[in-house]
Amino acid sequence: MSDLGFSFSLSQLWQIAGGQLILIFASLILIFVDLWLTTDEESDHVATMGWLTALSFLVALWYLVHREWPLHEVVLAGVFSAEKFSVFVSAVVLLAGVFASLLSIGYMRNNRMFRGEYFVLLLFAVYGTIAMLQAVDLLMIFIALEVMSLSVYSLAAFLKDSRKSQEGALKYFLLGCFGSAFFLFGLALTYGLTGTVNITKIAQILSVGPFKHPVVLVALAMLMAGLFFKMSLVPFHMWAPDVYEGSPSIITAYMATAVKAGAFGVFLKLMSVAFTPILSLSGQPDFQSTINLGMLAVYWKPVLWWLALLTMFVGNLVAVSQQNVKRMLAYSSIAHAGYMSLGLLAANSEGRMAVLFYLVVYTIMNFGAFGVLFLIDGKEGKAQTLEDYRGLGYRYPTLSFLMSLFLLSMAGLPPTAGFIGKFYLFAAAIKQGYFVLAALGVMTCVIASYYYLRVVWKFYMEEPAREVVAGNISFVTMGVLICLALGVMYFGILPAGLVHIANVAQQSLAMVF
Amino acid sequence: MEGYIFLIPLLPLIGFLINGLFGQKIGKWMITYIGCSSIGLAFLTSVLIVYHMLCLPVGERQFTQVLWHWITVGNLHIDLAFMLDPLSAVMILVVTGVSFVIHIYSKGYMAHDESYWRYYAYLNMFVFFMTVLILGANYVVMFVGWEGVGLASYLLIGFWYKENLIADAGKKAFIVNRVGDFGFLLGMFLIFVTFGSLSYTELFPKVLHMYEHGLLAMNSPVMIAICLLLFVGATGKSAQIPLYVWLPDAMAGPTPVSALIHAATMVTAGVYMVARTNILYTLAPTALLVMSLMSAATAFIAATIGVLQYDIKRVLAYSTVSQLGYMFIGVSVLAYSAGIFHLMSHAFFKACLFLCAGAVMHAMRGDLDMRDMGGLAKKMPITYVTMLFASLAISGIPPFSGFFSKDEVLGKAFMFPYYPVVGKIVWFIGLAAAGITAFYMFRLMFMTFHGEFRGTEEEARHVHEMPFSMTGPLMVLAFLSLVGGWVGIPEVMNSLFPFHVTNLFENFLDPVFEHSHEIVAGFVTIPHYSSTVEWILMSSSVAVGIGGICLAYYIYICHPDTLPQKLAHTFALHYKLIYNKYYIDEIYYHVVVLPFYFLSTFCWKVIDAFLIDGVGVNGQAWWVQRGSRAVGLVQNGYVQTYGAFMLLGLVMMLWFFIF
Repeated sequence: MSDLGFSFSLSQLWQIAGGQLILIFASLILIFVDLWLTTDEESDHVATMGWLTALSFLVALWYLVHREWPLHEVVLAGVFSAEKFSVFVSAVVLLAGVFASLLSIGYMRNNRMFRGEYFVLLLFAVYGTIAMLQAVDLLMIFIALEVMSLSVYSLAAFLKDSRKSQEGALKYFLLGCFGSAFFLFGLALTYGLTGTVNITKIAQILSVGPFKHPVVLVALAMLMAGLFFKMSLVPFHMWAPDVYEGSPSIITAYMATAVKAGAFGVFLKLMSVAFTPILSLSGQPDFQSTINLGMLAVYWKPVLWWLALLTMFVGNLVAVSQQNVKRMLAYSSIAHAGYMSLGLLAANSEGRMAVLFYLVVYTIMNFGAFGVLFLIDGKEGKAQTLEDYRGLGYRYPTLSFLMSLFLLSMAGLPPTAGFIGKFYLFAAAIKQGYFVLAALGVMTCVIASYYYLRVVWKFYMEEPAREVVAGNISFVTMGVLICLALGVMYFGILPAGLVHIANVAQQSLAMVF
Repeated sequence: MEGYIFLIPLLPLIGFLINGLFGQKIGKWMITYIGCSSIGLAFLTSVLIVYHMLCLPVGERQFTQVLWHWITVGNLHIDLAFMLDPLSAVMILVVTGVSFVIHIYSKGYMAHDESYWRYYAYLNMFVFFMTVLILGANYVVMFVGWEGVGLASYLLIGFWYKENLIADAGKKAFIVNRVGDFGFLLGMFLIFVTFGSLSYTELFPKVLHMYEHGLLAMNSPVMIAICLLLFVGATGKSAQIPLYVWLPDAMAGPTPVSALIHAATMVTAGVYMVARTNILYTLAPTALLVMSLMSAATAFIAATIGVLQYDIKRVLAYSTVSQLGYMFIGVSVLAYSAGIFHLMSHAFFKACLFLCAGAVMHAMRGDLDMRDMGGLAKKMPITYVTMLFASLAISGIPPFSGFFSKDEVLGKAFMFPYYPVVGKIVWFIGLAAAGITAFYMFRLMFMTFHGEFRGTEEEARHVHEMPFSMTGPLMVLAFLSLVGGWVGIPEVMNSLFPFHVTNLFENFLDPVFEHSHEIVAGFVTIPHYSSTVEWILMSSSVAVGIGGICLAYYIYICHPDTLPQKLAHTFALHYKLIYNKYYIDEIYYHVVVLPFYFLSTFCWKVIDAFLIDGVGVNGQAWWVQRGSRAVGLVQNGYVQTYGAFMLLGLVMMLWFFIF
């Protein structure tokens, strides 16, 4: 990597960024399909769009897993990389996309909201996230981040008749500007200092001298703050409850999982590569000097320590007093971000592995919970409160059982996947010596189990307060929910396979060059 | 054939699942069919596999089947694995065979019960766990079965749970067994800590190797501790002093259950476990000393209690405790195969006795008091003859099976290699108990089947012989009570036969116990007694058996109306003591139950309700609620506030980074 020239060829582009290309083409085609497709029933139109979207995601997923995962040459012209880490997180995002598009079919039918462009926006959002994950160029990261954000802003505002949706989306947009501005400012400072936007080069240049320079620290703080916004860590979290509550339930699930997965993935990649000594693990003489970057840990680690603690506490504590289940899940999603930051803070291989594992598990159980939530809801906002959930266990035994399963998994009870995921996160933190934080974190888990179990209690132990009519449960929706439930159980009982894959993925972070 | 071992537990499991899940819908005929055929097929599978084993040379008679790796934590590796060697082969044949017979008998016995499906589901579940216990290739799998049969026993004792007394009997069995299981668990932990393995195929060779290389002394404290802890487990499951109290109460369950679980199979699990662990026990003579004395005491005391009971099933229950004592005498005087031999013959004759008692109970419309019976022999000839066979077997009269097995146990006790003097004491106690056994069994027979009928007119009219589905099993078991012992004819009796006989049973089990025999032979010189001594021992046990029968005949046939009262009067103190079962239940109640009751009330009211629930849990919850509302106030919906907090966060970060 001593010379600055990059070779570039079309075949290499296809090899490394093939997944992104597939998504771009698919979204362009789907715009036209949406325009020209005429069906007798509007719901058929939506179903076709949903299936096509899911199919595009699956094709991209297939490409990622079969072609990009085994690659050895991973960097494309210093802009994109397809190392196993990015591929893993991208796969999680694509999986979330598949769930979102399939569940959206049922959601749109129940809400009588037949809009094809929804799926195109979803495709763009996923594309943006994947591009952001695969980018190794700060500028590219920023552009992809914006592609993702703009798509998600519009998706959040998709319930036109709902004031909450409009208000939430606007807040998201305004505060998102703040976040982007922070990130951009950090980017500019980094570029000014090092003269490059490629993260491996940044690491190389910083490590040989100027890493103690105050401007580096300012840049680091700015970049971190920008990403913390997307990760919804306290105190950058305040948009999340309002936006999550207002958005269409499936989009909420998507934001809480895929967008967060993207943000966590980028944070891990950017931070680890550019600001920690991880590249020195590769054994390349060029990167020997990056070992010096370990000095920066005294700055960012204490900050992350406090933010993780605050996030876990605020998320779980405020969730306790929520009466609206959707808003409660929004706070719980903040708390889960707090758990995952334990893995970031540990910054060892166990921690990174645990974060990757948890992203998968969290995606599965969150989609499950929101999937049941929108079904019980019927039409958005009709039955979301705890009062509505009373006694549903006897009226809708399957839905209630599934919801209980997903919530128990979120609460981290064995033998569900949530337990294993939390176990690895806390184990990583403890291994790195963060005993106090781990102990306090476990304490917040106890608080969390109160509000999760309260829902289960409402289902089975109380008499119904009023008649609740769940929405139409289609075959596809039920199929997806059952797959998710099986996933929750499978990774809870046999996690070894996924752990192995996640471990291989995190090791590849040292090879981004 | 070892690939098919898993079928033996699987078939009852399938039966349990079908009957348990769909039993209410599929109808009685189907329930019976599934319940019986699953066990029948399991029996057939066992027979085929054991036949295959018999065809192999002696050295290769051990099959293991690993289904999957179950637990792997650190250096603890536990497989879900099954093992079939001669010892478990004997057990599996006895268990599946007797279970099959009793399943068929239950069809008639439970025909009018409303929870018919539940009964068969539980019974199948029991057989599943029992086969897991026997076939398990390590202590953990055995423990799964051990706990599972405990659960099945609890469910079946309390089968008619609507009556408080019956439900309490179930609970008593469960709780007393917990005490034993605790010992078993500790023993298991100690084995793992000491030897680092719980698998039979690793543990026993390792122990042997350590002993042979001087790394493990004979009678070392840790071995004594392991063996005694495991024995505590056995006393719970197999109803030995001091934990035998649950078994008589367990008779509250349906009679076929008493026959199957509380006589023939489950309660012998402790004997099986000791025989399985024979190498460890052989290396701990002190543990064997304790065990032999305790089991002799159990055999004797339970037999004496049996003498004065009037409830047929209770007599049989105490008799079971006493016979289990014999089995433990066998395994604790290093005669492991003799203990297992007695286990097998006991399974036949005791199951037969219980099923006969069930038939009598059916005929008497649930009345079990033998003071209301008498002269039933004429009306129930098949039941009478089969029960007579079984009684002769338990009394040790040749050529019935009990004679061979009991004689072998007592003979081996007389020649206990480690402690010859203690061995003779144990032999003497056992001999006395054998006489008492014969006495109480024939007291039962004479009072029930001979003399005049003492019940009401209505009962007399109701008495009838049972249908074939019930008498058939009786005949099978009676036949086995007769011939079951012929596989273990001692060598000394060779002169009686025109052809050469060998002790087939002992030879078959020899591969399992040969290492123990080697250890003993290397440690002490085995006392040798001439065949004259053996003949004397044998005839003395026959003599006490016949003596007991004659005494019962004299008291209950010649002078049934006067002599019992007169004797009770003369020995008033002894009579009262024994009639009230030595007041053991009362002592337990005052020494164990009451203090626990007070302690738990204190824990509940003061510690749990006030301190933990009140101050601890609800106090914390109150704080969480308060905190939740306080923090929630910040989320006021204004985008300015949100932005301000973001900026604040950034500024704090920058401040921390730069200063």
